[in-house]
Amino acid sequence: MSKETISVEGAMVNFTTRSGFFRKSQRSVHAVNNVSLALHENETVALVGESGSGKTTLGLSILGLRDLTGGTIRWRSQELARLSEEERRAFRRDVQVVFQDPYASLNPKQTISEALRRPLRLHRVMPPGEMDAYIAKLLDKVGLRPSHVYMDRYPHELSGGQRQRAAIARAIVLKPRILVADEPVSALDVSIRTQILNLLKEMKAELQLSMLFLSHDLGVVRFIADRVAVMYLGRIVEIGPVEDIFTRPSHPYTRVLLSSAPSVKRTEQNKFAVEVIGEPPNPANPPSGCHFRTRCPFAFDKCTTVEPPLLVVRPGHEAACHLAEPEQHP
Amino acid sequence: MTATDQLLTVEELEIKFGSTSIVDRISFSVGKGEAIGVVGESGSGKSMTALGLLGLVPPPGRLSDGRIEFQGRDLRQLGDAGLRDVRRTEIGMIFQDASSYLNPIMTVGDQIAEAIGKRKSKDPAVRQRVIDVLRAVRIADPERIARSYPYELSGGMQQRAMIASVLIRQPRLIIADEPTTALDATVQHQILKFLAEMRHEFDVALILISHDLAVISQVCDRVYIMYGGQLVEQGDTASIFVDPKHPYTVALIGSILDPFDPKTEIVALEGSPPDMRSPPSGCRFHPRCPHAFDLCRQEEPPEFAFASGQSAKCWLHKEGASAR
Repeated sequence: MSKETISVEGAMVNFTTRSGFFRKSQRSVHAVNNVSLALHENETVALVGESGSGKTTLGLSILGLRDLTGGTIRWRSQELARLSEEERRAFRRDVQVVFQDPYASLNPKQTISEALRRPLRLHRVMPPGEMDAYIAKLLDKVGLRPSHVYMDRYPHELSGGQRQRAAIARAIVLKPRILVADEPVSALDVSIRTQILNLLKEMKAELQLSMLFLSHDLGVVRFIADRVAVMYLGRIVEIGPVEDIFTRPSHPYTRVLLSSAPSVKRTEQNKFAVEVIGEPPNPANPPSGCHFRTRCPFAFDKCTTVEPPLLVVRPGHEAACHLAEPEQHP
Repeated sequence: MTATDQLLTVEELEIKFGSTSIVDRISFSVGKGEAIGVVGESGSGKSMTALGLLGLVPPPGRLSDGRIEFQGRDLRQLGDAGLRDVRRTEIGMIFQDASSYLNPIMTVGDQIAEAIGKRKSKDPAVRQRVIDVLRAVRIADPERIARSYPYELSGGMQQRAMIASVLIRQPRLIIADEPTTALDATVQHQILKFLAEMRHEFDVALILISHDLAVISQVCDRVYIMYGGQLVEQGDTASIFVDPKHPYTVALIGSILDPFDPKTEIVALEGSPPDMRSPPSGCRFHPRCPHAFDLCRQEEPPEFAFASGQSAKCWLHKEGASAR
């Protein structure tokens, strides 16, 4: 397998919430709970999960925007928390992000070319004289054509799809190696969504990016990802190659997600007819043992007491379930 | 379908904001107990159509033309008080965001009781009806939920409570505007499943409005596709998926990224939806249509009908189908 660009080892992120009379009672929420994950060169890993699963928190930690309370994140085999000032600048150049809401991710007071020029200036990557030509080329590349028209536009003058194109241009202006995309197409209309996904795929191939793609939409994930990690209440419950996860899911939660996904191509083989019980529990007060046991139709005694570890079910495919057995599970 | 089986018949409905038609002469019908889907992107006019049926078009918009016949009465002739009665008893509406629909300072039980005109749910008979309807929307412990305030409930539970407050009035028709868009995948699946079952249990017809054709296909018998304020295609859900007649429908189906239909490439529909203040000449879809020819730019296509029961507003069918 190719080189790791980012590796996460036993990451923990705890939030403290206060509640009650004078907000005296404290409670700790494990938003990310002992997660290990490696992102390789030129690979797209999708993080899948419902709200409260911790995928966004993990994404923010990988971007260096949220400190871990335990574990480590390594970038080019250096620990993220211990980077020097200079290394941190290089890290910021190397790791970029596209958010869900293109309306909120661009500064409304900056034109598109100002928004793109700023990182170029801060990181001193080229003489100011060359910037305009570079920006024009970049806008053309992300489909904002003719580029001279869009250079001086403000975000409010663009449609949702165009804004997301501008946000992508912003993310790749410094030629990063790693892109974190947090639900980048969920706010867009169907026909625009496919345009943006194609653009992300193209840019990924052209810049040889590693991409961490956060999404709840399994159709999108199957289209874009090489590997998939399924998160539930802060833990990775299953991880593996995209084909494996979609055709031979091992964890009951993954099977539930696949059963719930709207589909017009469902057949008997991919029904995974698992009916989930109830709704996700409060992340502040997760069940003991396996977090999924309260909604799992297969739960038994052991699930209440013992947290299942991630075990290899077939090469490159791991699941955290007491029922998952190597190569025997349906 | 005979005339007596029809619940709602809409003809040539037009909604204007100033001189801009944002819903442009659309006609459709809903049979008793039937589920129809309305699909379109933002700005296609799908939500405004729903509000138009209920007489709720926000000013300065107005329902400028058309006929809405519901159970033999013309809703446009009813006046404000009459329409309010229809909304209270016969047509219910559920929205995307339940938390802004529910009153935050009233218990869920009281709100549902209020929906049938009872101020408090203390009366045992009313209480029982509230509990029954909460149980009917598959809430496991209805007594506790009835005593809860909306903020104490999850998004899925709030959505169920909103549906309960509509169902308790025993409407004949429910209009659901993107009812599951804000919900998590597993909860979305549960609510859609409930909406499909509800039709039979309560003998209620459903108009499901969504941007997601895959969602519609799980619940609806027939589909109407909207683009730029117009209906561009309609037909049985199955026929539309097998043999879409309008290039926009073809593109919509092509854009579905299905988890069980792996694709490595997808052809995106280029461009963006039309600006309704100055819609394109001729067919509104022509600037984005891969098959557009001269006629499409010049003249608006009529609706062509097909043997399958489908119809499509597209010049490609000028020969071989009958205009109506």
